[in-house]
Amino acid sequence: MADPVIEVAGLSKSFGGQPALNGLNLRVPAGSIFGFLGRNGAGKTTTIRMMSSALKPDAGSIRVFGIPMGEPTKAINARRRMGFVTEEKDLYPYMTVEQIIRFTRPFFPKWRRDLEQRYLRAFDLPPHKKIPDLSKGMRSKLMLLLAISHEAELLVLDEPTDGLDPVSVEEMLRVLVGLAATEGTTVFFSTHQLAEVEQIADHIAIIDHGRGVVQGSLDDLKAQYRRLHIVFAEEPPVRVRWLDGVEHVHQEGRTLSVLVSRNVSAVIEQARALPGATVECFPVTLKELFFNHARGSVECSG
Amino acid sequence: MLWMKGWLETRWRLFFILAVILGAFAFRFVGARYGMGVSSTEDANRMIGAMTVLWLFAAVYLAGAGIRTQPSFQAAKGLHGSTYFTLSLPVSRSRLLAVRVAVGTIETMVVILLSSVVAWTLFPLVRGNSTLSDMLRILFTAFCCTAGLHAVAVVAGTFLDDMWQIWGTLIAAVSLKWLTVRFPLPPALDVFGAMSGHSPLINHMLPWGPIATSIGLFGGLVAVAAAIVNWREY
Repeated sequence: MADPVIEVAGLSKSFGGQPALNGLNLRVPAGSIFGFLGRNGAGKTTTIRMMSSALKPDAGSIRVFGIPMGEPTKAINARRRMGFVTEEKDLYPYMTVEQIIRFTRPFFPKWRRDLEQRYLRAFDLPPHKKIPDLSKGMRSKLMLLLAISHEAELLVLDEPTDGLDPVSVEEMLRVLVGLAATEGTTVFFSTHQLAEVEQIADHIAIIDHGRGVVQGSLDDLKAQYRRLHIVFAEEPPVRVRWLDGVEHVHQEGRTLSVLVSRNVSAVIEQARALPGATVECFPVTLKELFFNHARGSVECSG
Repeated sequence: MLWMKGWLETRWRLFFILAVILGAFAFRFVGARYGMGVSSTEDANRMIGAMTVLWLFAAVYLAGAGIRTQPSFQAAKGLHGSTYFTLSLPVSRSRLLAVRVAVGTIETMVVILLSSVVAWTLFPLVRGNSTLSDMLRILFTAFCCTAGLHAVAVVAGTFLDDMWQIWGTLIAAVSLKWLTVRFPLPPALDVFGAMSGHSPLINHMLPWGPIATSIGLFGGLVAVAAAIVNWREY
């Protein structure tokens, strides 16, 4: 893998004794569209706030463009090359759209007025409207405009499509894909919308209870994982000592559904050897991967 | 642009204080026809005392909320969230604080300057026998001596919410004033006295001791505020 744009190593953070992050490791490749997934409270926003230096880690480190974000002076240089859409989508309530653009512009030497004007029109943002009068979706678009008008090399987006209507979601996703494709921008975004991740992401990480549970190229993960449906003529065997690589087994009647992450051929052989078993093998969806790894979402057995 | 942010955030506070002070002046000026003006030396002294209290209030009210976005009369929605936007900008926390403190200090100076000029112009008894140089001395003393309390409010603003910051600082100031009445400070340290009993209006000279004390307090406390802002999480 080329040098990662974001490298998170052993990141831990607690709030009032409650761990929010627990030794998180991440590597976000340059030019990737990276979907950051997890249930509510899994630690996504905490991770993103550490990328903006709003929070400080208890242990571990975050490097962006190789710059340690724990060093305030150096982190400023990293933030100059980054664009953020924060979870709250809150901007200064006493400013208009035009004023917040005028305010943000001088912080970024590479600000491009043509991009600013293009997205102002594309997102249909009214320049003279006060920020509290904008819907959450409009504020998301405004934050994205502020993030991309300075040719950010890295976009860090915390649930960027939250509050957007389906047409606007498509529009925003198209913009993000376009930026990654034409400008080589790295896009790191958290979301609960698995369909959006499946639509645009080429890399994903799933985080659960502050720990990374799956990470990698989405294509590789899909190629690596398989779902086996094993149908038995009689009742399925009560206890099977499954081979290494079986992640999750779920029984429904005379059918066992088995999620396999590696050793797929060997597990298929093992399943076929079970008395009265017929085995079918399917590719997995992102939804299956997510439900399997976001702990507690489904009942696990086997 | 941080200056613009500071100004937009605080302008209504500044206008509010100016409206209160100038409204009170207008009332006394127009009220002179009905026997409610400044018609004696006692009235003039009371007015100077009231102005000093309002200057101290202005110093606290305009001190800001550290690097967080400050609530205004117009909008409180989305304030805390917008702090995350501020922190995502490529600018140090120390600079954010420095500009905010500078905006508050300048606005406090504007309040002191405007209210003094208007009082001196409208009320001859307040002006008394003081000369232009006395007036400049009074202004300089007031700028410097309010700076200390301003910095106390700046520190409070780094970790207290807005209303707690204002009331907390004012209660601290009143307590301090009460303590200095019970246990008088040496004149060189008496910042309150420099704006009342030992003011240049009476002594016709600059109270260098309290000025140095207040400026020293300002420098030290702003450094403490910067350390808090750099240390804390949002």
